[in-house]
Amino acid sequence: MSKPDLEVIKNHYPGTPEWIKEMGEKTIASFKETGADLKKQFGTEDPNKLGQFVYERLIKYWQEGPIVVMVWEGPNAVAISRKLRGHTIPLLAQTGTLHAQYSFDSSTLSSSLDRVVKTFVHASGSRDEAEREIKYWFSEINEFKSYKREVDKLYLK
Amino acid sequence: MKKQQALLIIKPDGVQRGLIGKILKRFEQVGLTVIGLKFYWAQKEKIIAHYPETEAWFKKVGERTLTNYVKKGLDAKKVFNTDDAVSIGKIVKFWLINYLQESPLFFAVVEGYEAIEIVRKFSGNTIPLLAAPGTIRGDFSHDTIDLANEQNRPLRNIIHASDTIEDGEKEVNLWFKKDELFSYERSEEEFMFK
Repeated sequence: MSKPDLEVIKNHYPGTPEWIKEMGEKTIASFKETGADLKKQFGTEDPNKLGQFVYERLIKYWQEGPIVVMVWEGPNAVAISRKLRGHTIPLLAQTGTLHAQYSFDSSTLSSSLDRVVKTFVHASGSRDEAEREIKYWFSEINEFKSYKREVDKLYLK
Repeated sequence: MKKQQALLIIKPDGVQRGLIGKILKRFEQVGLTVIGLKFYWAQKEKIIAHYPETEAWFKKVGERTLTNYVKKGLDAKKVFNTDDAVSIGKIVKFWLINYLQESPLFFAVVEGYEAIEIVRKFSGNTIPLLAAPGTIRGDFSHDTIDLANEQNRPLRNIIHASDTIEDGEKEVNLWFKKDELFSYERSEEEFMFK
């Protein structure tokens, strides 16, 4: 459990112009999915501006309280984490996923309340992203000393 | 009334059986606030320091062990070569030190009104076989002293929970630095305690 500084959270994301644009495009797509009026809400439809706006709100959300950062290991750990977490936007997540079980937050609800969607679990999106993020958050650990688990015997032998 | 802090350690059997989430869930569910978390292989010296070196502590642990042996109809003298509570307490500490080095440990600090009583109640009797259903030890294990003795291994009882307010303070200070603890309000506090 930790409460990272603003800079630490900011640098968790790539933050490049391309990435910011992608964030804006994702926001546009999620508004389309729910049929909400983007321009009315943000006053712009430019993905670059929208991305920057969402980025800033996202950082603010991360700072609302302490966070728990953890690393999971196993075959297909990245794909499994994403599957169990579900759709980024809780309202659109499939039942059985964490986002659907514990939240109903959506783009329209959150923007009407002037905040970002509370996507309460972040999970690395790809192996490359996972590698980068693990190095970033656990920079002091060179090698994770693994241990045996009960499940290993049943599935990994 | 003042809030209390209690230290929880999920021991190697709890970690290796994948029980971390299930255990933490129970404390979150009852309303305690998780204010610190960490997961790592603990150093031997830290584990030694975790359990007091005082005569009183050895006696307390030894007496608890003796009571449990009587409950199970076992002969403590046969296992420990003594029936002196202090000596038995020392042997139990030695077992615990080895046991806690078998895998990484999961540490949690929980905070709330009557936190100590809650963590004791939820953990159950230190011998899982004697622990009531509904407790962590009673629900997830049936390990017992004679079995552990027969297999020449420490009794595995899944969790450590602070015993008293003083122990809680001491243990939290040992495993967590001040800046590793976070005070915040849980949403239900508004409805429950105000």
